[in-house]
Amino acid sequence: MDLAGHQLPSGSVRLEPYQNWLLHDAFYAEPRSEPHPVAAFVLANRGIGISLKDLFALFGSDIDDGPLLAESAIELHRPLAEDADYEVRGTIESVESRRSRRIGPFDRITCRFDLFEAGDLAATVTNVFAVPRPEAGP
Amino acid sequence: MTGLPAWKLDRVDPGHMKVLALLLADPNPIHLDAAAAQRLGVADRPVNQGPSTMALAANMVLAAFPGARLTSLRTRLLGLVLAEDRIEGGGDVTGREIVDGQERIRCQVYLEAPGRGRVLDGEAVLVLPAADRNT
Repeated sequence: MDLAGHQLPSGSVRLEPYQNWLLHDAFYAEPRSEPHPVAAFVLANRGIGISLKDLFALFGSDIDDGPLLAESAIELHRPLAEDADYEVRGTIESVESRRSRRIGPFDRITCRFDLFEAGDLAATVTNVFAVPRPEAGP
Repeated sequence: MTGLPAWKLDRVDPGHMKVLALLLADPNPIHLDAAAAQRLGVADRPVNQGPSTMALAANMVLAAFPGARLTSLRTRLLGLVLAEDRIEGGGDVTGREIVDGQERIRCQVYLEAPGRGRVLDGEAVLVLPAADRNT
């Protein structure tokens, strides 16, 4: 399947106040009512309508193989809010085949997630995953 | 260019990774279980989640500009951050501009795990609170 351009199923998410507190603490930040800026990443991950395990299965990979995030960009178009409902839409933007000395052949897969609050774009999270593509044996 | 104040986190706590795994709904075992990280040949300790390492960079720039709002954080994750690591960071202010009457600061940032080198680099953009203008 050609993954580039693939629309991921949309979904929704809310950051409950207790989750906001725990997230600040987990991020080594003083808890406060305004969510931590990197909460956008968490909301994108939780709100998209596909689990991380199924997303990696779509990539032809396995979450249990310990895949790693290579790059991430968060753009906050407005401050995030706790107890607000976010609709999350996602797209696989590109797939590039690369090779590195450390992991050998891999696909660099870029996914974009848009978070909407009350119909307005609140944040965009763009994640790049390096998915190893082991070469077939002789 | 103006340097950011030196910043550090004394200890990466594996307990924080477990809470974050629940909040992220991330079942990747390398964040939970040292044995899984070892079995996969990744590390001998649990591996900090990428967004947690990004959060450290955000904490660093927000500590440098109290009251500012982070509007953009673009990062490359260059190396693993592991449980019990000490993390140090720094960076430079590379630009200042006024947009819609608000002062925006652009910073290049980095984080290092002493002894293993750089684990993150990137760029952050912050909007300063009105009271900080011209200071």
